[in-house]
Amino acid sequence: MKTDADRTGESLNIPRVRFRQETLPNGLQVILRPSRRVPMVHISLHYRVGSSCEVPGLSGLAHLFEHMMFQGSRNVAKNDHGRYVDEAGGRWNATTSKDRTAYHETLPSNCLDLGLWLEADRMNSLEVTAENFENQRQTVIEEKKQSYDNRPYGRAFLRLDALAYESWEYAHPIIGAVEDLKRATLADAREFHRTHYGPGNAVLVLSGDLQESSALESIQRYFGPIPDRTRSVRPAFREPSQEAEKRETIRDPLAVLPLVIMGYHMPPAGSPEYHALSILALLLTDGSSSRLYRQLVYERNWAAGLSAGPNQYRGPGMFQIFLQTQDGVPVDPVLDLVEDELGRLCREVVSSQELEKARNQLAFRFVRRLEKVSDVGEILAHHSVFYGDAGEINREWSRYTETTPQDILRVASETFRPENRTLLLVEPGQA
Amino acid sequence: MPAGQTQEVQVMNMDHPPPIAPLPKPAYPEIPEAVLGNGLRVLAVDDFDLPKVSLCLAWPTGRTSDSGGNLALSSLAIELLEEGTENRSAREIADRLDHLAIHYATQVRMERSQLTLTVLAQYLEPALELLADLLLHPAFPEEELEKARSRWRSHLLSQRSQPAFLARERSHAALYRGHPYSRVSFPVAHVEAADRGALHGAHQRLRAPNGALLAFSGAVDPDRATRLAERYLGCWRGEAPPSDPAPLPPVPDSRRVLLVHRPHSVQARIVVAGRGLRRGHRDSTRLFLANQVLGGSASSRLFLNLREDKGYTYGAYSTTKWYRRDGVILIGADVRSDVAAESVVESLNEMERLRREPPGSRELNRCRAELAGRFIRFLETSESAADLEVSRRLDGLPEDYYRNYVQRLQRVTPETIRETARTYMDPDHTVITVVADRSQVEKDLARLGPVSVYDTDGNRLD
Repeated sequence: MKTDADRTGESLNIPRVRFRQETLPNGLQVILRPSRRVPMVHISLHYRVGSSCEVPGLSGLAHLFEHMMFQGSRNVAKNDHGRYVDEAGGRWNATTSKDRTAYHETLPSNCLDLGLWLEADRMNSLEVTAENFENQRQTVIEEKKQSYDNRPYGRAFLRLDALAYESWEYAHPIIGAVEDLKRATLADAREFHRTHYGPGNAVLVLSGDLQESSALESIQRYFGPIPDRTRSVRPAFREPSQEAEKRETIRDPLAVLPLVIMGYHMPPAGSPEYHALSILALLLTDGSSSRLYRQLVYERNWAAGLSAGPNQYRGPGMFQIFLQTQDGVPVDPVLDLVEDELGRLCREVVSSQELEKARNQLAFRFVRRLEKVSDVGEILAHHSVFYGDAGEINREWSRYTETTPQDILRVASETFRPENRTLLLVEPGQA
Repeated sequence: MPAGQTQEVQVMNMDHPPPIAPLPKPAYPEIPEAVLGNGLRVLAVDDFDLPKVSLCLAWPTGRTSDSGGNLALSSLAIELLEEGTENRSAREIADRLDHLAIHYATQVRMERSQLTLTVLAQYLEPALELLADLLLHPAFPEEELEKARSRWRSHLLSQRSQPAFLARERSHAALYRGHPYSRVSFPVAHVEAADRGALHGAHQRLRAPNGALLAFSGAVDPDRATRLAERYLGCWRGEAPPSDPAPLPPVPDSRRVLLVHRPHSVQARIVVAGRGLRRGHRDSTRLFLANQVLGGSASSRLFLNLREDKGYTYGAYSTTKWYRRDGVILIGADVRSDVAAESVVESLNEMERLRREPPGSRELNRCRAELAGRFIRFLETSESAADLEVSRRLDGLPEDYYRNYVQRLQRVTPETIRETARTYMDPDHTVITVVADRSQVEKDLARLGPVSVYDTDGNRLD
C-alpha cells in the first residue's frame, strides 16, 4: 500500500478560470472575471502599442507617452489620477513593453466606477502642458540611468536585442535613446495618442469582486460613447534567418563579475516551439537539480547566477541564457559546457522522469498564478492582446502537457544551432 | 487644471469623479494555535480555493543573534540545510525538491530567520518529510560548505556594486555604531572562517523548536496541520538559549554627511536616515502615517516634489523599518548627480514642513486609505495573513494588533502627525549618505556640512 509520502506523479488538476468576453460597438474588447475572494477589483487596460510601433528617430516615445497618461486629461488634472486611486485605498501603475502598454488599478470593489471613469477620461482625451511634458522627459532620462546606465550589466541588457535582432522594431530599447527622447515633442505625444489610444486598440479586463451585468453597464456608460479614431498598425517584422553567429564583448566598469548572455532566435510566444522551449528552460536552469545548475554550480562551482527562458515578445522571439561566472573562472570552458549540454538536448530524447519534473513545476506555477485577482486579470489581458483570445488561459496547460519528448528534441535541434546564436560577453572593467 | 489643448469628444457625466465609497472592513482571519510537546507553536490559515499549501517555519533569531564574532553563521547554517543530511546528499535533496516542485527558500532578516516552502497540496506530506530531514539531521558537508563559501564571495562582491546596498550599509553603520542593528551584511572573512562545527553549533543555538513558529496556509485544516506537524516534527529536540540584547547607542547628536565614492556612477543614490521607533511602540501608528504623508507613495510629498515638480529622479520615497527594540526612517532616491545636494536639501525641507504644519484632512485621509487599502490587499492570500501572524507572535505584539489596525489609523489627527514629526523626525539628527562618483558631487555636498568620504569597501578616503 502506498503511503502519503509516496504519492508523486498523480494527475495534476489545474482549476479553470471562468470569465465572460464582450465587444462594445466602438471596438473595445471587454473581459469580466468575477471572484469574491477579497472585496477588491482589478482593472487592467492594455493598448496594442509598444516600442515596436515607434518610428526611427523617436525611440522611447511609447514609454514616454505612458508617463503622459498621468499628466492630465479633460477632467483629471496632473497627478490626480494616482491621487484619486490612492484616496480610495487602491493601487495603480503602468508598464510599457515592446508589444503593448498596460495600465492598471486595483480598487475596493465599491470604487469600480471611479477606476473606469479615470481610464475612460484619459482614453478619450489628453491634456498635457509643455512644462509637464518637459518634466516627464527629464524623469524618463533619470529612469534610464537608474534602471540601466548606473546598474551593473544594465547596458548589456539593452545591447542584446540590438545585436541579435535585424528588425529595428525589436532591436531598439523600450526606454529609447536619450537623443531621441530629447527630440520628441508634445505634438508627437498628441499624435501618438490619436493614432494608438482608443477603444478599437484596447482590451479592458475587470477581475475580482464584481457583478457582471452592472459592471458591463458601467463600462458601457463610461467607454461606450468614446469613438474609435485609432489608426494603429501592427509592425510587420522582417527578421531574416540568422546565418552566422553574432558575437560581441563589452566592458562594464560597474560590474564586478563576468556575465555571459546567449540569445537563440525562435518563433513567437504562444507557438508550439515556445511551449517546448519553456519546458527546455525548466530542464536547463530551474532548480538545483536542473542540468546547467547541476553542472555549473554543483559539480564545478563555476557559476554565481544562472537563468534561461524565452522572451515574451509577440513577434519573433528569442531564447535567452544569462550566466554570471564566479570571480576568476575563465569563460571558454563555461561556454563549452553550455554548448555540450545544449548539444545533448539536440541528440537525446529527455527522460519521462525529467519531463514529469517539468510538468510538476509547471503545474505549481499554473496554480500559484491564480491566487491574486490582479495576476489573473493581467494574464487574461495578456492572452487577449497576444493571441486574440483570453480563453488561452484555460488551454495553455494542455499545450504543455501535449508537448512530447520528440517535439522537444525537434525544437532543440532547430533552435540550438551555432549559427543561430548571439553571444554577448560582459567583462568587468573600463571600456 | 493644467492649460493645454484638448482632443476629447463629449462623454456623458464625465465632469466629476464618481463618489469614493468608504473602504470595506478587512476580513482578518481567526488563526488558531497549537503547541507541540517540544515547544513548537503551530498555526494554520485554511483556504481551500486552490490546491496548494505554504509553510513558514520562523525563528525569532536573525543577523542580530550571531555571536562569537562570526556574523556569517546564521545565514550559512540555514542556507546549508539543503546541502546534505545524514540520509540524503545535496544532489538527492535537489532532485526531491525539484521533482515535487517544492518552492523552497530560506531567509535571514535582522531579527528573524525563516524557511518557507510552497507545494501542490498533493505533495504536502513528502514535502514535510523532507523538511523534517533537513531540520533534524543536517550534515553540513565540507564539500558543500566550500561551494557555499565561493558563492558568498561572489555575492558579497556583487553587493558592493549596488548603490542601494552601499547606502543602506553606511547609514546603518552610522546610526548604530557597532550595535547589532548596524548589520546589513557580513565580511567575506567570516564566510571563510565558518567551519562545520560552528555551523552545527549555530543550528542548535539559533534553530530550536521552542520559540519557533510553524504556520500552515492553504488547503489544509488546522487539525490536520497539527497532526502533520506532530508526526514529522514532534521528535525534534532543542532548547533556544535566552537572548541578551546589547544596549542601544544614543541617537546621533548632530547631522552627519557621508559620501561613498563609487567610481563611474552616472547618478547619485541619496539616503537620509534617522532613528525611528520599535515595533508596537504606542506612537508607531502615528509615525507610520507621518511617513506616509512624507514619502510613502507616489502621491506623497517627496515624490511630488523631487519627481513631478523638479524632474530630478524617477522616484523618491520614504520608508520605515521596525525592529524589536528600535527602528529607522529612511528617505531614498536615485537622482541626477548635479542635483544630489539639492535633492537632500529638498528632502530635509519636507521633513521640516511636516514638523511645522499639520497635513490637510484630505491629504491625511488619502494616507489612511493608502495604508488600509494595502492591508486589505495584503490579506488576499492566506500566505500573507499567516506571515502577519508569525511576525506578530514572534514580536510579542497584542492579539488585536492587526485586527484593530485600520481603527488605529482612523484615530490619528492632522495635529498628531505634526507632533509626531516634531518628536521623531528631526533633520538635525539624521545621517545623510550619498553614493556617487565623488568628482561629480563632493564639492556641492560640502554645503550640507563636513563630508566624510568612504570607498565601496567601507574604508575612509579623506
